Amino acid sequence: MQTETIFYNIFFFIVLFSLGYPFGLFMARVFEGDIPKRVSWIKPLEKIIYGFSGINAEAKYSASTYLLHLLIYNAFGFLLLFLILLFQGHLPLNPQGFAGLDLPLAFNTAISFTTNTNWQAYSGEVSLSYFSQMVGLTTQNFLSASTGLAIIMVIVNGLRNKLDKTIGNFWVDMVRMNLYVLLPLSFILALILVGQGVIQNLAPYVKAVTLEGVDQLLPMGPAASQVAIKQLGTNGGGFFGVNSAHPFENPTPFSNFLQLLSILLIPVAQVFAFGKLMKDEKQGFSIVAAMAVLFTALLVVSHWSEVSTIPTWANGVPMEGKEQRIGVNESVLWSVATTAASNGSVNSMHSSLSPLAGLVALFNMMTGEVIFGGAGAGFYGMFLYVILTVFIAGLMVGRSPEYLGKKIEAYEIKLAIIGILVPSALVLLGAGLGAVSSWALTSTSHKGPHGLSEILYTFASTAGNNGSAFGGFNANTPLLNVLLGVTMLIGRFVVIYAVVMISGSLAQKKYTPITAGTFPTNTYIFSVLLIGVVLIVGALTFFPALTLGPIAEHFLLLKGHTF
Amino acid sequence: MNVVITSLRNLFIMTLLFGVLYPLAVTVIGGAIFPFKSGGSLLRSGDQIIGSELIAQKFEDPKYFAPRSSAIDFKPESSGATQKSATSSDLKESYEERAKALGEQAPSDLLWASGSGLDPHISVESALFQAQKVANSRNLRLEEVTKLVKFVAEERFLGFMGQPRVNVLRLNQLLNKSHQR
Repeated sequence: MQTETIFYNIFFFIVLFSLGYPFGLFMARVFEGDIPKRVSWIKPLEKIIYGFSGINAEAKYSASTYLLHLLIYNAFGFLLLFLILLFQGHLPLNPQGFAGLDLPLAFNTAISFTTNTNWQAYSGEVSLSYFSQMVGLTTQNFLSASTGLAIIMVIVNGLRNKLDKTIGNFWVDMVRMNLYVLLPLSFILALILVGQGVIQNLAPYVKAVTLEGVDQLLPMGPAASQVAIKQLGTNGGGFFGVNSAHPFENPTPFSNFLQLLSILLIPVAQVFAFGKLMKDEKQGFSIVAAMAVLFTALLVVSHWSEVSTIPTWANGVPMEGKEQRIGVNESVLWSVATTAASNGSVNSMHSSLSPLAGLVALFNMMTGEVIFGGAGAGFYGMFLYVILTVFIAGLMVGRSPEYLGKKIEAYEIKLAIIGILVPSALVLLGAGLGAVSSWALTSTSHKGPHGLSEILYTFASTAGNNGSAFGGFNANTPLLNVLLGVTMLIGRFVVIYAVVMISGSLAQKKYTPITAGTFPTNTYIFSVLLIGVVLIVGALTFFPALTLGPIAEHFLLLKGHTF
Repeated sequence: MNVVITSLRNLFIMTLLFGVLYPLAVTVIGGAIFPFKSGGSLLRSGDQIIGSELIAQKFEDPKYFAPRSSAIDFKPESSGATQKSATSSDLKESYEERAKALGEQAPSDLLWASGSGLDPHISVESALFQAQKVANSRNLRLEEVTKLVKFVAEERFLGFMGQPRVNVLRLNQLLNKSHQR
C-alpha cells in the first residue's frame, strides 16, 4: 500500500469517528425531543408542521398503529412520486421537454426512492425533469431516510418502556429527524459541494462548441441539493446516470472525501445515539466495534484484491470504470462504504472492479447492510442480529436470553428470523430463478461467472435496498422493473415490520433486573459473538452463490480467461 | 380516516419544504456565492461557450492532448461506462487496441476507459507521455509543452487526497492561447 493510501484511510476513520460520536449524542437529544440550542431556531417550524398536518405530538401509539402510520405515509409518498414521474411531461421545470416515464419504470423508480433503495433503472440526465428530481426524488430522499431513522426510536422505546403498550409516535420521530438532523446537514453540505463544483441551477442544458469544433450538450440542474441528502440519508440515487463518478456530481478529491464521510456519518452516529438513549453508551460501543472490525476486514480484502488482481494481458492496476481525480484507493474505499451502508451511490463502476472487490460489495449487501448500514436501516438490521446473538449466547449458557433487561422469547426470535431470512431468500430465489430464465439472462452483458454476478448483484442490491448496480445489467425492462420493484418493497417493509413488532412486544414486558447470570451485551466479547453471527449467517447463506460468481471469476481472471 | 388526512397534509408540507424550498434556497445562495461553479464551470472564448472545465471533450487532432477513453464518445447528455469486467473479451480487445495504438508504455489511465465517460483529467504521466506528439505537431520544443503541462498539473489535495492530474481541456486551451498556430 502506498503511504498516501494508508494515511488517507486512517485519516478518514479518525474524522468519521470524531464527528460520528458527538453527532450521535446530538441525534440522541433530538430523538428525546430535547432539541439542542444550535438548532432550536427550527422549533417553530416543527410546531407549524404539527399544526398544519393535524399531528398530536403528545400521543403515543401501539406498535401496530405506529406501523400503520408509517405504511400509509410511505404509500402516499410512493403515490405522489409515481404520479410526478408519470406526468412530468405536463409539469413545470422541464426545459428539456422530457416525457413522462412509462408505467413500469415509474413504478420501479417510485418504489426505489420510497424504500431508500435508489435503484436506478433510468438515467437522470436522459429522462428526468428538474421537477421530478427536486420535488419528487429529493423529497423522498429525506422522507425515506427519516422513516428509517424513526425506527431507532421504536427500538429504544421497546427496550425502555415497561409493561407499556405504546412505542412512540411516527410523525414526531420522522419530522424531528428531518428538521434537526437531515435538513441542516444537507444544507451545509450542499453549499460546500457547490463550492467544489457540483452544479446547482435550473438552466436548460448548455450547448458548447468544443475546441475541435464539435457540438457538445452539457446537462444542468439542481444537483448539489440532491447529492447532499443522497449521501447523508444513505439513499444513493445519483442526479446523473453514473452517480458520483460524474464530474458534475463529484468534481474534486475533497468533494469525494466529504461525500464518503457523509455516507457513513449517520450510520455510525446512530449507534452511538442508541447507546446514549439506553443510558449505557457501552451498548453502542460494542455494536460499533463489531461493525468497525467487519468493515476494516472487508476493506483490506477489497483493497488487496483490487491492487493485486491484474489480468495477465494487462500492465498495472486496471483503471477501467474509475476516475483519474479519485484513483484506485478512494474508489475501493467508497465501494466498501456504499455497500456497507445501504447507500448505493458509486464513484467507480462496481462491475469493473476486480472480482473479489465485487464480492465484498455483494457480501456487504447480502448481510442486510448491517456494517454501519443505512440511515436507521443499518441499526435496525443489526438489531435483528443482536437479538439472534443474544439468543444463541443464551442457548450456550443455558439461560433464557435477555437484552437490556427484556426477555427474548419465541415471538421475538421468530420475527428476527423472518427479518433476516426474507431478504436473503429474495436474493437467492430471485437470482436463482433469473440465472435460468430469459428475462434475466437477456439483460446480462457478460458471459461466464460475471453474468451470474450481475444477476446476483441486482437482486442483492434491490432486496437489501442498496441501489448500486453492476451497471452492465439492463434492468429497464417492464418485467424486471415490476419484479425488482416488488423485491425492494418486500426487502424494506418486511424488515421494518419485524423490527417494529419485536419492539412492540418488548415494550409490553416487564424489566428483568440484571444479575450475575445475565449475559452482558456491552462488552467486546459480545462484539466478537455478534461478528460471528453476522459472518456465519451471511457466509452460510450465500457462499455457494458467491463461489459460482465472483470466486470462480477471480480464478479464471488469474488464468487470463475471457468470455 | 384521520391518518389519511394527516399523511396527505404532512406530505404536502414536507414536499414544499424539502422538494421546493430547500433546493431553491441552495440554488439561490449557492448561485450567489459560487456563480461560476453552480453554473457548471463553463469556459468561454469570447461569447462562445467552449465547454465545461469539469467535462471531458473529444480530442483527436495530434496537436491536442487526448483525454481518457470514453464509453459514450464524450457525449455528456448521457453519462456512462463500459461496465466490463476483466474476464470480458470485449474489454481485453479494447485494451489491446489502445495498447497497440499508444504503445505498451502508455500510463494506465490512458489504456482504460473512465467511469463517467467524461473524466476531465489524465494523470501527469499521461500528459508527459503525450507531450512529444503535441510538440511535434505544433513545431514546438518539448520543454515548452512540458512547461505548460506542469503549469496546469494539480497536486493531491492536502498532499494525500485524490490523485495528481492534468485537466485536458484547460491544458489544450492554454496551448492554443500561448502557441497559436
